[in-house]
Amino acid sequence: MSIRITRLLISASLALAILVVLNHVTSSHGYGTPQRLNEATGPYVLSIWTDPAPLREDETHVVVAVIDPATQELIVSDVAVTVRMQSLDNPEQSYVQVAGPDNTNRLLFAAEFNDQVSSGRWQVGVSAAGSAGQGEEVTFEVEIEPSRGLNWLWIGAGGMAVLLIVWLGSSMHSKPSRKAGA
Amino acid sequence: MIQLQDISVQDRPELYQPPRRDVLRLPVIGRILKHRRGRLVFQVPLLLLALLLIYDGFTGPRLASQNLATVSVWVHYRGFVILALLLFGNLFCMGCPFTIPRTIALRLSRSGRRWPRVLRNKWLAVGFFVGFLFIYEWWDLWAVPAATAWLIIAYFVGAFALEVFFAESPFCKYVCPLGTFNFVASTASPTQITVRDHETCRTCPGKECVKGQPYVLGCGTELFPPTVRSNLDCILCLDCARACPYDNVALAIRTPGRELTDANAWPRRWDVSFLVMVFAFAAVSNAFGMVPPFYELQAGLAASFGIRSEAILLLLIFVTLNLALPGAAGLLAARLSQLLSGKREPMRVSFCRFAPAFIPVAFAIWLAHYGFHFATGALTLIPVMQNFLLDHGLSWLGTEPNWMLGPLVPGNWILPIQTIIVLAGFAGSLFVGRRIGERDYESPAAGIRAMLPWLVVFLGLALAALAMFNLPMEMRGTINMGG
Repeated sequence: MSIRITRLLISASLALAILVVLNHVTSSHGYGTPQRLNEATGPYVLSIWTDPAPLREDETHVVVAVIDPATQELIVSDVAVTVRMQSLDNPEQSYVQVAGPDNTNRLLFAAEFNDQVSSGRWQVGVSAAGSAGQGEEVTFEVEIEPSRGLNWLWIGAGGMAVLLIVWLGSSMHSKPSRKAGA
Repeated sequence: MIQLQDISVQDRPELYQPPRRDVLRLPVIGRILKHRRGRLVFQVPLLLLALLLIYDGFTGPRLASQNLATVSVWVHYRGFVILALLLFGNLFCMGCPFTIPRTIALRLSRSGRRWPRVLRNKWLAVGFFVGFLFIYEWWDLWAVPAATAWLIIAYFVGAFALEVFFAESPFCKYVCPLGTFNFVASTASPTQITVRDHETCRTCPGKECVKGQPYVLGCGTELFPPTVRSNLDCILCLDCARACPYDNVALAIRTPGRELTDANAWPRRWDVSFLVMVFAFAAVSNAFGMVPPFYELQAGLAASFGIRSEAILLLLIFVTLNLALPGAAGLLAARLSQLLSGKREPMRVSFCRFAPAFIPVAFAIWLAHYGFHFATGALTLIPVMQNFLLDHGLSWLGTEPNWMLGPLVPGNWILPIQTIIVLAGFAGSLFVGRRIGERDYESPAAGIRAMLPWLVVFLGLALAALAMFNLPMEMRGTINMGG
């Protein structure tokens, strides 16, 4: 019986693994793709990442580190970071945000364009201004893909439900050990 | 000093299974591992690395993502540890550099005092383990290279001091938080110390594997190989194999986690079972410390109770999540398990019965978490090493650090892999739980009823982990900036 159950569990796990591998879906971690690193602009040095990879219509984050070139320390106050996104397919489509503290690393700045941008090629511009002065805009281009259709939390929860059903079904038909009662 | 009469081979041959595959009998690896200086092959490189990390921690870049101390310890060490535990066993305790001075200390203290009886349990280890996680968060160890360097020094000093005063290895067995983590996780590993012939040990007059020989120490944690049923407390130093005059000790390759369903492998002790539950809840809470709701919780607590001290806030959260919650959940599940199964037994037995079933899901959560940091930052080591060499006038690895390096795998692989790992761990816990139910109850229905409360806990842990992995997670030590 235990071999049959083991096979069932392995089959269920394999089925889930195949489902997972077949769907190339993104994560919404603070997983950053470096876009510009150590870019000197005015009195600042900027490092910029986009997150997640790939960017999607419903998840597009721009993360910025502002660094003092003299001390190599991160600047977290007395500076405003502006992020601009402009569609290269439709130049009239443009959004500007003042970046706030990043959710997961308070030493960084982040701007979110979730559900604002559409799929296609976009230009991103980042600039910093503060008491030390104004830096020139640093630009780069990104490709944004359509929204993902699946939510991994729900897939995981569904997987657990399947495992539970298999486990319950198999356990009900299992035989107790001869040493039961230990 | 341990006495011969303290050691006995249980005359229960049914408990003994001779190893089918023995790593120590492999042609080259086996010879290296069993060699008198075999452990140093692993320890010396790690000792040199530790010294390098201390040096760079104090003198290198202050940005954590550019410093060898922070990047190596918090990205690579943790990733390698969990992978080694999954694929082989407790390799990092085997190669632990902190135990090199400890070995000298141990020789000095062979006639030293025994570790106090009141502390011969895992309560202290639970405290140090949670304390370590608390200090990691409070002092932002991942972000401060010098603090990481001090931590390494503290490890050397702590291990040496305890071994000088006490005749066994209390640092490894009762204190070391990293060892505690490795002990618990290694119960799921595919290797285990055992013996080739049970009878040889039963008739062995010297018990050198524990007592040692003039040229090699015996088991530091005082495990007697023929009675070893679990990897708990085994640092895989292989001193037992080197000391055995009959070459009777084996490092068996086994089914991963086999001991989890073995009724005779784990003592039904409050401290051991609680440690396992803390290990499981800490897997979730440690990852929780890196996602946005953690900061919101901190801010909420600060506003509600007017607490301004970060230490007190963190202490409140860590004690609740890592000690109070597993304790309360364990006691409640044990009581409900008694009621649902109708089995009359001491609370301790109910509390301990399903504790091994926590291991697969807990291991999976740690693996998914540390694997995330490793997968997103493994290649960071290259520019950090380039930077280190350039700072010392060496251009062996190029003249410009390549700060664009970092991820090991494409970003969109991470969450699917994490989901598979957590599901596999959850399936493992279900499997272990079912085997325990079959083993200890008269009918399948009674086994299921007894396990149901524990199932809710496993489900909660796995769902909480999945929910967190779906949130933005801080990439500690992996984001490079400046230059």
